[in-house]
Amino acid sequence: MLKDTGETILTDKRIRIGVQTKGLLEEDLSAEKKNEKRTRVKLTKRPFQMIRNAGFDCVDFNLDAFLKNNDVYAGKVGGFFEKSTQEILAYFEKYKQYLDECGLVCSQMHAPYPVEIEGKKKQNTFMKSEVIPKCFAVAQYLGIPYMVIHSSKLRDGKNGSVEGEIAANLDYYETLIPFIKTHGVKVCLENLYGGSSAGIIEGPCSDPYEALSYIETLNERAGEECFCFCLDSGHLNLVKRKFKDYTAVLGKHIRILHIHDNDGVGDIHQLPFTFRGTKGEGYGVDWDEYIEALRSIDFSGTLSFETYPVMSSFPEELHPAVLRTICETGEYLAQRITE
Amino acid sequence: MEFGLQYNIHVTKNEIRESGLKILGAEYRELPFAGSAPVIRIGCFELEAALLEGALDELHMSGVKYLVIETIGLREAFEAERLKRILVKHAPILQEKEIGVCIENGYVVERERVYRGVLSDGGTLARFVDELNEKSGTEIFRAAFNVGCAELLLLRVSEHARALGKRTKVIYISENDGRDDLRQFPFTFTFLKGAPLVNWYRFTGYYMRENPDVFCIGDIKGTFAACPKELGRTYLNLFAAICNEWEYHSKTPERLADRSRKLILFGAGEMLFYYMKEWGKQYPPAFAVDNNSALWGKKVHGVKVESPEKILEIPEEERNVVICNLQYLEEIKSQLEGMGVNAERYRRDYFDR
Repeated sequence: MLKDTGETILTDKRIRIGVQTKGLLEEDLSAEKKNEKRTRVKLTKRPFQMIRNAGFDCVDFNLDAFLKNNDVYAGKVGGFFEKSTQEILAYFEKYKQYLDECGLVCSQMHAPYPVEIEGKKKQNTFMKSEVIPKCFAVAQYLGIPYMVIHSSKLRDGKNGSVEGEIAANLDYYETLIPFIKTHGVKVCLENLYGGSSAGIIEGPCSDPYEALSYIETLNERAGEECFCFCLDSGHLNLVKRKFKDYTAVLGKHIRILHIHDNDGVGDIHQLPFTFRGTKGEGYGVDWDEYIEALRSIDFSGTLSFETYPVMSSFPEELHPAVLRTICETGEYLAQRITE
Repeated sequence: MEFGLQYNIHVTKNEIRESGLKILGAEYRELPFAGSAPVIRIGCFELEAALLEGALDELHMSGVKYLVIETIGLREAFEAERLKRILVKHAPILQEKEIGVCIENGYVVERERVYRGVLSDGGTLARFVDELNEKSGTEIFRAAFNVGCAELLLLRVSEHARALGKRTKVIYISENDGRDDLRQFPFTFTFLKGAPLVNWYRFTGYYMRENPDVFCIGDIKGTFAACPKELGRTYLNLFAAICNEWEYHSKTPERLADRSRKLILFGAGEMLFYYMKEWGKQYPPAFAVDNNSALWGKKVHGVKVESPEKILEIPEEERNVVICNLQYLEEIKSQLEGMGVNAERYRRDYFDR
């Protein structure tokens, strides 16, 4: 039986501050193929220490950095996840050691995505039968209570429809119930968007009622709470929805967060508060509304920042200062949410 | 290059001071609150009235060195000509009071959309500045380059900066979403995956190398207006870190030019190639060192490569060690610290052309 909250590690009620590992723990193993040259930087304790020194308690462990979504779309799904589960767990021994030594906890994990692309049957099978089961094993090994697995975007395909997408996603998520129960890792759905670089349109779980329907249906099928929700601030901003409308519907199902900001046009995962002007113009996230919404559901999980592009846009030498900025922003949000 | 902040009412002067930032600029109407700032900006449509009311005396008494003329809203050629006449007329008194005048690139807004104005392009602004100096018979007129205004018009900032060349005396740093002049923080407006819309390395690097005698002013009041008061210090500290970083790299040419010491580059990889391409003739290294023993004794990109231990053969006061490798920067820094060797770092992004 899973614990009610899914929190296996964080026992006190203090809101924690976290940041994703992507962009910080640079290990590009995503397309580890014989003839493909990729930068592979040796993992050291330094980035873990840098995260800790900035004041963070937690990390969002990006297993999707080991199989990037660009590679999945390009059909390159081999490499890292072709290793056996034992080999993969052995690989993460150092991670576990460094996390422990630095006093960092993994509050959540992000699995590679998408698990299903229309017309790529062999690849989809590999994603579902190899990649995702191994993610559960890694999550359990690292003591991670929640894993985000994106719903597949099937509504815009040749034979796509919203109903068909939901049915296919429900069928897939249902197959995860034994893994969830065996490994003690709950799966979080996330509000996504659709479209392309040419324009954004609502996508899976953009609508809070659709998200609620997923979670209630799946938990009913599981007979206990196996599925929860990850609220992504930037994605919600892109589809012009209000946080309070979302929290009012999803309520306590919202267990984890992806916090980031954008210009209302691109999913650029940037620093909060940097997209509005002196008179409130601009299309960035309305952070006051965000705070109110989380306060309304008495949110007490981890304020986890999904801001990896910041690590590319700012010079490396400034990463400690940037991380400190993100962490202080988290501390401010935590204070406002709990006051 | 001198780095600092444009005064804004959303953070206190004390908070700015505590962050280590200097107030280098202020708007004319904020002059009484800003304290001393060497660069004051005034709108082109406010200028005439302010001059009539004795603005130049006030600026002179406040120790202002440069008056920046903001040209937002300047849409017609006749308006630019009128501005020119006013400035030429006041040139003698400006010269007497030792106040330089910098004309800033701007934009116009029509039906809530942004368009180019008559002084938005670097080339046009350069000609305007030259004509002012020519007609006034002085050299008091310079340019101010506002990155945010250029970004709003989707200009390639580095190219317009080059068009202005050494005419530029003031750079205003800010970013926006291409729709509103948000006066926001640099580095956050990006393409997907984090590539910045403004290539800050190329832009600041141009001034570091070609025109270091400029004031570089963070005009980011949008950040302080948008973020809660409690986070004002946080963003001040981040901007101060950026300024420190830029200031450090702006001294690269000076560091390389130190001929009293032997220049030793740590790293014989790709960055050595780019170093030699940009600086090899001007500031050739005595030798390079690298941890790859296969390179020891060989020449790479025309530079003899030695073991890192070779550094210790040069007395401390006679060596100028510069790390020329970003990928293993931290590891090399630790290695050199362990050897008791002080080193600077070189970042090619600022200087590659």
